[in-house]
Amino acid sequence: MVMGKVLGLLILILAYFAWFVFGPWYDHLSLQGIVFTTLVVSSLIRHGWSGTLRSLWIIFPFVLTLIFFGIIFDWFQLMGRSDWLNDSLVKAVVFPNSFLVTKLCLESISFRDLIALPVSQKTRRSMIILKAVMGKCTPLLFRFRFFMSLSPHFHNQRWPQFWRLCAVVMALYISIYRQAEQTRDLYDHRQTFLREKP
Amino acid sequence: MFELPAAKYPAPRSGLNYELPVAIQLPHSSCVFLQGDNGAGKTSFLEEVLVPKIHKAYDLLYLAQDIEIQQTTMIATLALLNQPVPDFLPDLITAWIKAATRCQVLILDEIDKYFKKDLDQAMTLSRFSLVLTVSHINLQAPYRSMQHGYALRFQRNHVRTVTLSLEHLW
Repeated sequence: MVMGKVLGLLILILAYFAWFVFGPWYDHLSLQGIVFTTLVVSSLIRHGWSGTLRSLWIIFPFVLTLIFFGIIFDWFQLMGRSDWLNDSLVKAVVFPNSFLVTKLCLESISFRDLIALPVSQKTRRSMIILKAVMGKCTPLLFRFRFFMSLSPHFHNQRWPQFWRLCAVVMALYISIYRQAEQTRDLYDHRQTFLREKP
Repeated sequence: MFELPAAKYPAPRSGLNYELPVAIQLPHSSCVFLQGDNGAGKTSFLEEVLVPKIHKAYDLLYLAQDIEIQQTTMIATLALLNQPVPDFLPDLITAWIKAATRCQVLILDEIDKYFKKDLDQAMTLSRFSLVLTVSHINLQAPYRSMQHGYALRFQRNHVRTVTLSLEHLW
């Protein structure tokens, strides 16, 4: 049952990428729009408004960058092409769709599912630690962005926004590393001192 | 130096409404103690009302209640500025504050518990024009280097409404 669920979710992710990213429906904006709407509704049901807006807020800068460069390239007719803007608009929908599909499917796999999977102890341990770390570290991103938005430390540097973004990324990396160590130690400790019920 | 008009201030994230019946006017070299029971809404007021307003006009250093999370950004900041990164949290905070060369406002949310009497020595409070602090250990002595002291009291009258009142201490 669990295998079926996990396999089904992985097949769903692969099918999405096969049809909507690398396949025939890549540049069908209307279909991509329907997928996007479906994914946003699924996210709303699962996470509510604040959780969904947070997910979209993560990818918003990348979408903006895609559209911005599409406009610039289209304006200059780069490499003789005049379809840059259309291409960027497609990517601006495909990217959030890919992110949401992967996120929603992987989130649907619970800790109980991971425990029930017929995999080696070492693999199970890694999967559990990865899920625990991602669960703890993803919300930290917003807190880091808030702290760095207030920081005056890079005022005297060239491109202070860039340095603040670097600090956010670096802080996230440090958190993931530390959280992974702590979770691994906690997991190993619990495993070591597990006792069978008498 | 800083003024907050008498008004109702909504804090959408926490769902609270803050009522300030009398306007607040703080002169240069002021220290404000935010006082109230646990859950009165002090941190929410700081983050959703005061910090955004102050940040529009001044450079500020904000030390949050979740300093264990914030310290990661401090480590990243000092590393990117090519400055030494201390291991010990109070030393990290001190180094981070010193690395901000121009700053007018310091905001501390339950940070003085890490320093207690050494707070002024660690942070050189007199270099700031305004210091705001949330504290439960009721220690005023380290802040006496500031010329004016105030207490901003939080009174939760209703589930969603908090009334604020300012008292002049010194």
